[in-house]
Amino acid sequence: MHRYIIKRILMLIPVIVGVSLLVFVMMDMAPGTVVDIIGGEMSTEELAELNHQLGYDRSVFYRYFLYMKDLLHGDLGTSFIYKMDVWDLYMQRLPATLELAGASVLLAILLSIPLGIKAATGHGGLTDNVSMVAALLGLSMPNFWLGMMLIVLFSNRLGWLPSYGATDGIKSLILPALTIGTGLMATLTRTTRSSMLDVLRADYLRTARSKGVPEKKVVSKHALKNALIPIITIIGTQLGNAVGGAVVTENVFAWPGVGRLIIDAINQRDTTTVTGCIIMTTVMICVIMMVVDIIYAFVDPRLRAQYASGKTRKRAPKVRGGEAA
Amino acid sequence: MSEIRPKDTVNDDSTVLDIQNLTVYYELEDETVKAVNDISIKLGKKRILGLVGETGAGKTSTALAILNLLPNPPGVIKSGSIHVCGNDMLNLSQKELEEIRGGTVSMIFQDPMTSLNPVYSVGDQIAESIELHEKCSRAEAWDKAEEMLELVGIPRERIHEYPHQFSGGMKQRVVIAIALACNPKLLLADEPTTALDVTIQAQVLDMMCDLKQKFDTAMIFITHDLGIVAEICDEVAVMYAGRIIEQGTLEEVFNSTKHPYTEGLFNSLPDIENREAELHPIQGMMPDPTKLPEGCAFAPRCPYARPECISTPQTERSFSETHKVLCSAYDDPSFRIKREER
Amino acid sequence: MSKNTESVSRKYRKRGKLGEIWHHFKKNKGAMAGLIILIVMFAVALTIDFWLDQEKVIGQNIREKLQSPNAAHWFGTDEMGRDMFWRVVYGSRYSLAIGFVAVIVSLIVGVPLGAAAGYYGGKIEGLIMRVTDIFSAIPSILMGVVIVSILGGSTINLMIAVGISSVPNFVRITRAAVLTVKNEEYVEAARALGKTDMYIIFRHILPNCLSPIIVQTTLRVASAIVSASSLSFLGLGIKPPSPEWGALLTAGKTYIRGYSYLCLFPGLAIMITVLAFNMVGDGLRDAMDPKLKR
Repeated sequence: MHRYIIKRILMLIPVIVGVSLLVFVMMDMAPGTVVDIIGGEMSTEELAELNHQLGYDRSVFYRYFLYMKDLLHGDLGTSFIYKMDVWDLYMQRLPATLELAGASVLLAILLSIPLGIKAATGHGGLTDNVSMVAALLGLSMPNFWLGMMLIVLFSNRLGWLPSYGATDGIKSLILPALTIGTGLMATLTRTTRSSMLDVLRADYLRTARSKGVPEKKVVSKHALKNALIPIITIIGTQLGNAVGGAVVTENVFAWPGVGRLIIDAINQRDTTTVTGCIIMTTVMICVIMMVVDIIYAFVDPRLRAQYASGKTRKRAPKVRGGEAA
Repeated sequence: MSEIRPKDTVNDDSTVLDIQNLTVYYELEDETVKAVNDISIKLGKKRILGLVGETGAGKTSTALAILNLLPNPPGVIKSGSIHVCGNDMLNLSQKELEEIRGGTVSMIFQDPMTSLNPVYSVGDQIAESIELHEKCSRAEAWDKAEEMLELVGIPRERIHEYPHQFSGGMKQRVVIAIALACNPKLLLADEPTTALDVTIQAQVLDMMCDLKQKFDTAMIFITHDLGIVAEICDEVAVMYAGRIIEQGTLEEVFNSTKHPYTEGLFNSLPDIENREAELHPIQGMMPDPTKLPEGCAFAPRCPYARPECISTPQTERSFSETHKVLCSAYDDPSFRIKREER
Repeated sequence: MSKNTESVSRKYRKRGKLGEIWHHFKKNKGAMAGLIILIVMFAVALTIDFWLDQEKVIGQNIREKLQSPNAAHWFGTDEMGRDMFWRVVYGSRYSLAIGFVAVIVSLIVGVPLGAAAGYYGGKIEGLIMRVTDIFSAIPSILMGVVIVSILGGSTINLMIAVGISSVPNFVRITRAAVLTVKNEEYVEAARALGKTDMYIIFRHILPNCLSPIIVQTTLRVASAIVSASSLSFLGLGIKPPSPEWGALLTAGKTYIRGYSYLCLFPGLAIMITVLAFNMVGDGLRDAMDPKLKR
């Protein structure tokens, strides 16, 4: 198991290199360079010197190489708009983003999994139909619009909750978390339901019932654990999306997170900040997906065996032969 | 076939299973599958009943109905009663049912590949049943689970392993261990050996017979293999299109076969002593269970059928206290099937 | 002779299959409702230039500015006195066009890549799938942000940005579908007859992978419409005063405290469109794969 985790971490490296290269090269193609911004009043020699220093007289891969060398030391360059280190800037904004992502995913987990299970066990019933219509609506609502409507209702009309910022503790968290949470809830409810529906037909549940296992336990123990893999996958993807994709919601609520930083930086042509933040966000997502992969192994012994056999190939065919017999 | 000798015919009075006039339908959107039609079965202590018939004859539905575990919807028990050791299975509360399932009656399912939960260890799955029914601690349940595992011939060290680490035959042993874990009075074995290799089949059968002796369990053995029936059963019930068309003791059904369908089943068996002999499979197919005829469902395939067989409902005819046949051809006192003339 | 019967039987089978899908689809009320909404929207979007006076959409009338919804202006008027109803109706052209072109972009790029990965396997598959992994590691909205910031925010660029960010989905889906049919006997037979890979892929494999791709296409149009309007809302796509729905929301944001209807209706329009696509997509999936239903 430890071996698998180490292997999985090593596998992360090429993805991170690839992602950072992709983002770096693309952002490098964006019109305008740092030199244009700070080199306004420099002489031609000074400009040439600066260009050389920053690698603009060499290929984009050289500049990427320089960038990665700094990144390994926790240096993402300096933002010329914010006049500070991008790394520090990112770390300063990250907690707010994580707080929002955590709150909305938690909300989704607490509501959607029970609801999805209920919908699946009462397939075709009232709970099922109502929750599926609600999920479809939630899925179809654009985040930013939902956020705006929540603001209209809860802060403008009712005056209960603040409409922007993160200064009011849990009160300021509610609306943005609800905004992101709605889409997550919709997806997670649908996934839980369909995954449970698949499992509820399984023969081994009949075995469990024939042993006299109470129906509640048949669902919560025997069925749920088998249905968990797709559910965990979706939760991981969603946590990733909430960490990286909360851009829009953060802007609606002026939430001081990474997403808002990225858009502000784009609008001010602060390429260094944009590149740094997107690379860091993507790294976070890769790490989340890796953790999800590792969690799989705790849920499903077959995957655990597969992971183990990735290292010790000798046992694998034996296991598979047993399956086929 | 004729060398079958009567097995122990000691008739124990205490009835373990009593099914009266059971009818099971599967009510689908646009049609109704009549899976089980008005069957009655009585089974005494320690007896083994072989429930024989083609695929789709309603054998598994009968077994599931006994546990009151029919998938509902679409499965519905339309009428009849089922008593297991005096418990009215169709009128028990959910909680009482859960106590009886796995405790008094348990079932071995047909496909060992899919009947074990892949994410729990086999020990967990055996111990769960014990913990539920014997009201003991988790540790005690696990100890007993280890014993059960050993009893079915699996080393106790493997208790923490998962189903995917076992072969098909081993999995079926685990399923049997689960079913026997709480010494049930009645065991429903639904083709427990069909999914296994022939060599493994024999092992599993031997083991089941041993265990039956050990635990004094009555058993319904569902199969379409007449050889297995001859080997282990005391009584036989032959099902066709949801009806029991012939039932009696092993000797009665095998040695004085009365129903043309039962005869057809025997004729379909290859004869090892006479390899030149032609096989006589039953012609045609089982009728569509959504459109059963008024009369005998076997009539369209029956070599002795008369026109009135299809149209008039059959009546049960007793040839002895235990031997009952559903065939109106015997209205004619001189009627004999070929097998009996031999 | 044999060729003749083959083509006849294929024709029958095809009609039979389509008929079967339609038979299941039309039983699904939600899907039918979605389909009707979409047909109406398409009819309006395609013909609107012929029957609607442009003046109604862009004509300013300061005297009538910021009116709440009323009999003359069903959705009210904006800060320039333009009628919001006609602006929202006209906006359907942008959203539908962006949604469709974006998905066509991702189909054109994604399906061949996915098919190649699934069909050839080995190194080609490894390469394609690793690159796909990298692309899909970047959240699609950020991908859109990056592409728009490189190319600039025009309608075409928005389509490309949104399209590229859903390529990984199509690569994955196509590959998975190809893997399931690649070893079917008719493919082996075609290979034994010495047909070229291209011929086999386009003639035998892809036609049998259509259902998941079609379903995915429908659902992706929905998400493309949301992504595009999100980018517009962030100020990176189509800018006001174009009546694109995201742009209408950006413009309305300023007045949201007093005149929330300015934001209500464009958002509802997005929601209804996306809902319709989602319902049709769900309906198609259930109809094409009756196994999954029940």
